[in-house]
Amino acid sequence: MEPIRLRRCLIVAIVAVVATALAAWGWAGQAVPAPGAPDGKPASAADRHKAKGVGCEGCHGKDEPAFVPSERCLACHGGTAAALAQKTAATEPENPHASPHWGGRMGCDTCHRQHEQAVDWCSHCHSFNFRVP
Amino acid sequence: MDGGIGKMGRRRFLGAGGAALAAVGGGLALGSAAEPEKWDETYDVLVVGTGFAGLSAAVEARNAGATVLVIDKMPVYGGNSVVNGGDFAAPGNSFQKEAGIEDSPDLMLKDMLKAGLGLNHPELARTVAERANENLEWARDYIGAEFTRLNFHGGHSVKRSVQTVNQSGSELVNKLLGKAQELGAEVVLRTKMDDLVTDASGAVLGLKVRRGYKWPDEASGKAAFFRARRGVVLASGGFSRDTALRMVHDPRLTDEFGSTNHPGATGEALLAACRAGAMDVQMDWIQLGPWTSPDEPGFGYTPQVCERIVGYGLMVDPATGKRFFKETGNRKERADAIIALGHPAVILGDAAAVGSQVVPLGLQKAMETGAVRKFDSLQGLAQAYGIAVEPFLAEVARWNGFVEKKHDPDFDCMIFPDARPTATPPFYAMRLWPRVHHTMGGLVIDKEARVVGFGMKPVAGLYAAGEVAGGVHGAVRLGSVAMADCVIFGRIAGRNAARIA
Repeated sequence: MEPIRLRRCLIVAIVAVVATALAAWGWAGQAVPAPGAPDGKPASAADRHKAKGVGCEGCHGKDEPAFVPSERCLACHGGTAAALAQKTAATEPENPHASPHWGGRMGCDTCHRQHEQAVDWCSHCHSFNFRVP
Repeated sequence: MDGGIGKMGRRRFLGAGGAALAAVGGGLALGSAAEPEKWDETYDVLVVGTGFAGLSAAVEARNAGATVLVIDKMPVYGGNSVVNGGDFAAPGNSFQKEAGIEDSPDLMLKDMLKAGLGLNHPELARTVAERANENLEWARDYIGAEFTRLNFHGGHSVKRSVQTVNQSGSELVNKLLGKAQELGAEVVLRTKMDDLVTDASGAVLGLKVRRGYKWPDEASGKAAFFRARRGVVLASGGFSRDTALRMVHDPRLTDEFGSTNHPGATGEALLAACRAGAMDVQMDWIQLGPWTSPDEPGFGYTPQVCERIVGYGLMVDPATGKRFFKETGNRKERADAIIALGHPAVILGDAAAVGSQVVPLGLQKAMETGAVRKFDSLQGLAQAYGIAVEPFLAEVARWNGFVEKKHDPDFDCMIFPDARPTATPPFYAMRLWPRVHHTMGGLVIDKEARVVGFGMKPVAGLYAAGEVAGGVHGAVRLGSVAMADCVIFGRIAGRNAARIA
């Protein structure tokens, strides 16, 4: 039992490392299904962007990958922070884009992480249970 | 316990003021970073933290002619200030005058020293009491923050706390940020201070930081060196969310106790200052807020309901149905009393008390989370919380007798002149269980906000303000004094850091 399990783990690990390395090299021409998404559905927000034709440069420009300014997100999503907040005004139980703390000054990627699990920043103090794409 | 932390606090005794030191224990270098060959950025003043204190410092430093960079490690600005309740204690304020309430800086100082058990550094506490109102006016008239209500907070002799229009510190934080940026201060987030950079004499030259820091990933970010030609202001807040550090100073505060604070309220910047020679004080006075609910996370909405009805309604132990402590007592006393029960307390107010004292929107939010509940009868309330009905009704009747006489011989609760017996339905109630809220201790500062080192002299080029500094509040900070403390000492620190040595 034990050795087989170890060997399986090792194989999975090697595949994961190789896949990650290839993805980092820019080898993957299309979205790489993330682990835990056996139906091939893109798992990360960045993959979904890519599937819609917005690749690395669409967000990061020609610069090396770094935090993306919110203005670049807003260029496609709403135009301005205020307009985006209007679009989500009916969200229950609160409008996530009209925080009384930060309002439109909250960076998009505070919650909408592209290369990792999205975060409901409000949940540090509130139970809004937002489903963050 | 004799290991790392104690040594870190006393690294000055290792000599070698400011030179790069070898890593000892835990992988952390004891000391400060040495001057780099090349600075990545150069400003006159560097400010660490974007709360009330840091942004107030930035505004003043800009107005004194300095170039200013403000950094914050988090992806959002404002620290605890942007999620705080927005109350600013100021004796002699215009709202008090309108309401005919007599007050004075001396009375506020007396209240602060009483709650602080006399451990407050008197010149710091006096600075806050004496300058609170002029700084409230600065926040209102110069910064443009709107204040609309006069509130009471436990431990104060009178109603003296003026609250922002949105019942949140965000009103002042956002206006301060706008002003600081309008004046030309630069503000960058996700930039974490790792160490102070000092010269051979121990004078602070700047900061070693990590740009692109992704809280809470300690492996993230790229090292860079920022030069401060004139001074560094530490306004990095307290360490209520730092369970390991708070347990060093008060081992009872395990992770069983939640915190009202924002998730970045940890002690790295404070400890980095200690490693570079700054002295710490009263670190074991850590305050729990007695007005938080176990039925919602974080600070929540409950404090804005609970704290408005103390002095109007009663708080009982659900196990006995009887009162057990002075509802208007200070935070420390009340939190200790609830913890001593071993289970959450219940506080209630009737339609008259809640209707006249609580902001309707706040009440609505607190009810939406389920933390505050509404009942048609006192019997129904008792049953919902598992309180024996008969003793509870007898206790409410007893309390109502005290309210009629405006005197509480049982616990000496302050009963307000406009308080009425708890008798008009519907009744509102909530459970209370304390959470870690404020760390009174921190870096030693003098009244010019200069950080004092283990040589008992100011550390050249280093200033601190707000919760990262200690001594202002002694054993217990009274509610609504933090905002005054942060603005007052933030401004002093910013002005002094901008001075050309």
